[in-house]
Amino acid sequence: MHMKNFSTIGRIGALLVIALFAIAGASAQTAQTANTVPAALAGTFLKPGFITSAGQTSDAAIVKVLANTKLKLGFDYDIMAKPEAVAGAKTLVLVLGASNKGLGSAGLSFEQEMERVKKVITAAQKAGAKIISMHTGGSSRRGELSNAIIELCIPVSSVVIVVEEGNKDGFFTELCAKHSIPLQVVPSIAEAGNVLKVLMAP
Amino acid sequence: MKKFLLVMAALLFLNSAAFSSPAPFQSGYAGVIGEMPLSGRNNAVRPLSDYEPALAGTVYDTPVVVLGSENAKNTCFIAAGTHGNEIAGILAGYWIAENCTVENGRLVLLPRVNASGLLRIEDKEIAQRIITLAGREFHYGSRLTDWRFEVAEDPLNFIPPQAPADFAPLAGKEARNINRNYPGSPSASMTSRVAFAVTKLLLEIQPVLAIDLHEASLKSSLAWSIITRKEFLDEAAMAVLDVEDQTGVSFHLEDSREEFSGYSHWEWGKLGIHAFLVETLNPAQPDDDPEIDQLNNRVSPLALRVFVHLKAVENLIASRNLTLDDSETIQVTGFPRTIDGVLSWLHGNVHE
Ligand SMILES: [Zn+2]
Repeated sequence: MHMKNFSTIGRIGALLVIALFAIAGASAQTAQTANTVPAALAGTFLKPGFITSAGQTSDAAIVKVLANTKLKLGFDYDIMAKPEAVAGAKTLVLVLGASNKGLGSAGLSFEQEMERVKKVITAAQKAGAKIISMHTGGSSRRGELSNAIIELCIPVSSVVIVVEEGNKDGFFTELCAKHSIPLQVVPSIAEAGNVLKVLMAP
Repeated sequence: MKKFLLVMAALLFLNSAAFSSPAPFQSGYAGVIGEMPLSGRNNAVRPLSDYEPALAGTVYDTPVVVLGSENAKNTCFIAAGTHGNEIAGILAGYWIAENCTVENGRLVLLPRVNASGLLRIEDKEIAQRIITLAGREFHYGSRLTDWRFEVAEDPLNFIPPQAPADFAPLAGKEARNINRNYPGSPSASMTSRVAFAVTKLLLEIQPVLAIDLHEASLKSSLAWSIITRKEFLDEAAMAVLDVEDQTGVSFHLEDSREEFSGYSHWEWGKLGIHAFLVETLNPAQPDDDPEIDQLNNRVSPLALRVFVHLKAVENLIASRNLTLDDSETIQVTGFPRTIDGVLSWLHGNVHE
């Protein structure tokens, strides 16, 4: 099944990459894979893990299905987790991206969501959990609100995983360099999952 | 310029009868059938006016294509062309009508929900635009329904029928946006009657899955996204991952809320249907710039958009099948395996 589609994926992937570079110039970091996860990080994130959103992006549901249904990593999940809920976790995955629609359906203002995320981070840190920040939603999750969420979460992360379409302007590259946070820029959501898998202790 | 437009508008108003008479088609049904390739393998084609007689013989009537068994337990409903300028979804619908076979279950397809938008009647001074594909004429149509045969002028502003009390009113012309009119009404505008007919069709066929194919502009946060109610996000997420695996395109997910009142997926979801809005990127939107080469656009070429729509449909069906009984899953063959299959189809070559 996968083999059959391989050439197509390569071709369209190349087409998109060319198109994206045509728009953005070559400021973004070259895409990496799970194979390039630094040895010092691989297998260092412990279970139990917990996935929540930072910004109420529904992309958190994609990360959950990827991590749990596809990769069987067994994370707990609540898109709008309360601080108490993450207190038992050893790894906290924050899926980054502000979505006005998501915020609306959660009945939260952006300020309330920022407060919730801050408290969740504090609770995780107190419990000794390490934080993985993931961004999979591309440029549509890079508006002003999303950027504020990203700037809140990157400095407290132990590693950041970004699907490259969301880093066309090098925003994550710069931010991670500034705070000395390891960054994995990957070509697809699926590869973001593979990186997550390599990071987790078996 | 403003003065000129006012004079033009006045002239159009005075001559509205004369203006409407040279329209190349008066039956939306015939117009869509005229550009839709049908393989003959489909069980049936019937007019949407079967569900709302007031549409019969008007520009608003449109074909309903049924593939598979009429007695099947589970049905997938696919809508496209609600906005006539969002052409990748329409072509994906035509692909399905021409190339897909339903091995189990049933597929009910409306390739151009807005048949009246076959022509560019929205911008009254712009001539209709036709793209020639494989020697066939294909209409780049309009977003809204045909104003010429509506029961009344556009209102000053428009509020979808089941919107909450605090809903911010939309521009009046959105009264002719089918995708703000669900569930529709048999006693309101022609546009609302189209929505009503679709709702009646859905109540009859009781689909377990409904997919509405659209496109959005580069500036829209909806480009390359799947939008659904919170309860169906996981089902969409599974499809997003499989579509990425098979096409290289990564969708993002949006969850829906009252702000989507009148939208297909939001209102169909209230009927218990697992309903999804799929949006690819049309580089000519929002202004429908005729200078944009749809076929060869570098950022979002037409073949890629059609391919991704088809793969979204295929994988949303697969995702829905996970929670259906094995013997009652919806099995459809004939989706393209590669983008080359779509390219060949668009260019009229023999495809896979
Ligand atoms: Zn649309």
